[in-house]
Amino acid sequence: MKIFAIKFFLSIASFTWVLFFLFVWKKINIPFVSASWVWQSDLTNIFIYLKYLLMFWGVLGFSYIWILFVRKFLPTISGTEIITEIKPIEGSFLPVYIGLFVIALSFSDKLQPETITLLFVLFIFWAFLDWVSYFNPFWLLFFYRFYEVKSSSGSTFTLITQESDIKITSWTYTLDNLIRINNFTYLQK
Amino acid sequence: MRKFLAHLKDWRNVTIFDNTENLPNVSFYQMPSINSSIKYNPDIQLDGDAWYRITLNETQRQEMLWPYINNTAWATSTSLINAENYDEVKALFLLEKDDMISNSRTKMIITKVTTSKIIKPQKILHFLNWSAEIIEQEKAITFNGHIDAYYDGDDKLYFKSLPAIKSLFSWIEIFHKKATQAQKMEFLENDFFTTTKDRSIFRVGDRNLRRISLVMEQLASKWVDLSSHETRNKYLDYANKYKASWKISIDISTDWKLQFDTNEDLWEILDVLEENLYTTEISWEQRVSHTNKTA
Repeated sequence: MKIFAIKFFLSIASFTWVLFFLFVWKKINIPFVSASWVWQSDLTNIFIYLKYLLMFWGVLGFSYIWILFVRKFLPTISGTEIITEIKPIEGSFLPVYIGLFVIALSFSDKLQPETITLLFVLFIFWAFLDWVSYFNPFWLLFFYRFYEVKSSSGSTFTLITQESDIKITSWTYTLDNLIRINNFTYLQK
Repeated sequence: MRKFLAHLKDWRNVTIFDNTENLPNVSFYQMPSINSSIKYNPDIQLDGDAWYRITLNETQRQEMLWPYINNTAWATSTSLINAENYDEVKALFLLEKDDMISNSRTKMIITKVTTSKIIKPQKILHFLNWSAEIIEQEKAITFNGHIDAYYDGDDKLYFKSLPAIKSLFSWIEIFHKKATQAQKMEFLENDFFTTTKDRSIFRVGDRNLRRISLVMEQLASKWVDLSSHETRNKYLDYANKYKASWKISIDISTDWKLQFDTNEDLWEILDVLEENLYTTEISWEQRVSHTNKTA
């Protein structure tokens, strides 16, 4: 149950940044926070930017908390893995997110709470199918990198690790301290 | 590295427990310490905590063990088991490997799961002190940690009963038969026997095969030499006495030899060699005994 909850919120965290950019792009106001009670004219703009900054920190914090929970509460797999091929994979996620962004934009002209909920549900459903391997660009700010890795047993999986620019210099490279997020996505502590 | 897996019907392996949190669930399922083991012989009973042992060559290791330990010992090589797979489980096994040493071998203990061990979802009346409750039993497999076979990582497989592990290891039958094939040919080609059939394709029944290996061991241990004329004459005299009642055919055309043309003839020849035929003292009845118990 705990594992299910962590995975669920991880996939939400994967998509909150899309919503953040959506809000900024369309200059959507957060309810209950408006500039009307601040001084008029010059400082209004500053307040809007401050609001966006706060939203940014909120989404960043949300993304970071769930990585912390994964590291703390999900168990480490016993044993090691020997890998033979490795490739950074952040680049291949961007087209997916841009596509999602464009779809979201086309809906956002008539942005009702129902539309947002529907989009959210679709995103989460997509994430649960493991198509984007819980990719979250905010994690790059915490030095997490995403690699597509081929193991010695022949299967390919996604590795999330804080080691940067891994290249296999000897014949094989050993991974240990892996945490399983799903059958094809693993986080290295 | 410790990993507890299930072997499914379609030769897939899935992980059940593989991390520091859930592996303690099977802490009672450990590699056994083998104090005494004997080379496998179906006619020798095991005593106490002894194990049967067979030594596998490279090909046999590949055929028998690779379905379980090839590429399963790595951290990400198998997926987690799903509740849907529970009734496809054929065996449960535990792998152990020392990650600190490179090229270390993988050890394995394995337990067969028969259909009787698979529990369907059902209601169970659960008894406590002074009360009872109904519990909804989910899909389950009974598992008490009994080990059917143990592979030491090198070339030896230990087990307590061959029939129990026949369905786990595909080639163990052939391994068992090959050992007796050599013995069978050695026996059939012995100069003391004659036959009109082709010895290389002569079909010997399973029970006769076992008796052949036993007889050859017994004769060797008693220093009985089938090639000496004296011994052969003794056997022929003995066989002559019971020839009529037990249909033992003695061929007198070339030299005096025991003849076999069918599997049943072999049965009688083995009775002669084991000296199973006897005459009772008082009523002079001719009988056969297969107990072979000595004083």
